[in-house]
Amino acid sequence: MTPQDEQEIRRRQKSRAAIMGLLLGAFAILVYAISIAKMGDPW
Amino acid sequence: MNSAAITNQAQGLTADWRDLLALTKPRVMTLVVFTGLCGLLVAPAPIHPVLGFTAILCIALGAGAAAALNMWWESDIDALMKRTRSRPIPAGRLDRQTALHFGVGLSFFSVLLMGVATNWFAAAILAVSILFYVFVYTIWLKRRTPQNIVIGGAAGAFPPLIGWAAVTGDVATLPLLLFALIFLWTPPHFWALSLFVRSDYAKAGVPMLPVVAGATATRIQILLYTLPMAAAAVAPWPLGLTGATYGIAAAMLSALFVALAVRVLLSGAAEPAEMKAEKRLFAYSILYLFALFGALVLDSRLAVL
Repeated sequence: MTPQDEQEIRRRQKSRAAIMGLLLGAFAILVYAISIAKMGDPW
Repeated sequence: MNSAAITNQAQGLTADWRDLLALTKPRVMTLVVFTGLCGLLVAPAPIHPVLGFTAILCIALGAGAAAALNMWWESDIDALMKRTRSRPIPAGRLDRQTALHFGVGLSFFSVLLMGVATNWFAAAILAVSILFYVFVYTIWLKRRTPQNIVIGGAAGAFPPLIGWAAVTGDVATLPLLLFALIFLWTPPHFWALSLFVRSDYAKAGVPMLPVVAGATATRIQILLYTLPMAAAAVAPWPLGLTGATYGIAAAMLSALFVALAVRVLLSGAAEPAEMKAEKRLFAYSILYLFALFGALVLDSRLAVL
């Protein structure tokens, strides 16, 4: 593996980690919102 | 060295997130999300907006999971066709194992979230639709029978049923008719496409109807499926399940669909470049489904007023 390959893989890992972080954050908010919705008025 | 140049050596290492996203066939997802949303909106009860959003999200994730598993299984034939050979796996940007894990993980996630947020009946239909698409359509039938996409169409017909079930916890005549409608819509829609990309399917050895039975038989089959499809589209109105707004829209939209299917039947075009009628039917079929479901939702909103 050349240094350039290494660099490219690090770049991909970094962008995937950033996206995963955003998705996990969004999921936490969603689960909170679902909990509130389920505890609230019976729709 | 740019990112494309290392793809072959980088196989099995780290895939770019855009290639994982591409596995979910985001464009196909649009129609799935839309019909699922319509099923949810015409159900005879309100649903909390957050739970409704979650239900649609789960339908989208389930469809994405099924698409990823489809690409995992079909990477060998995708590599042979012009339309599909730039997909992440055949292009060498993603290894099959990653696609399999991604697809299975996303399947479980979507079904479990659906069950927790809405109800386990809707989650069960979602699970059945994913399993049906992957095992019955992709693995079992696609390479074996020219009726493959008829069966495959059933998988695509589930979303309105799931959307409805997410609200009510059961199914009724109207969502079942919507299921029948999409089920019968798929063959004319897809065969119109496969008429003008026939050479590609032949190359990959997929028994698409035009490949095994010829263009004339395909044109007849298109019309044969279009007629019951039109009947299923209009049926909710005489059955009293919708109002005249939907009924008239469905009758007019379906009449045009039948007219275009007749023109395809009468078209003797042999070369894809000459297949104007086929291309027009394919383009219209997508518009048709959007317009029909849009009219359905509009009709149900008007009934509440």
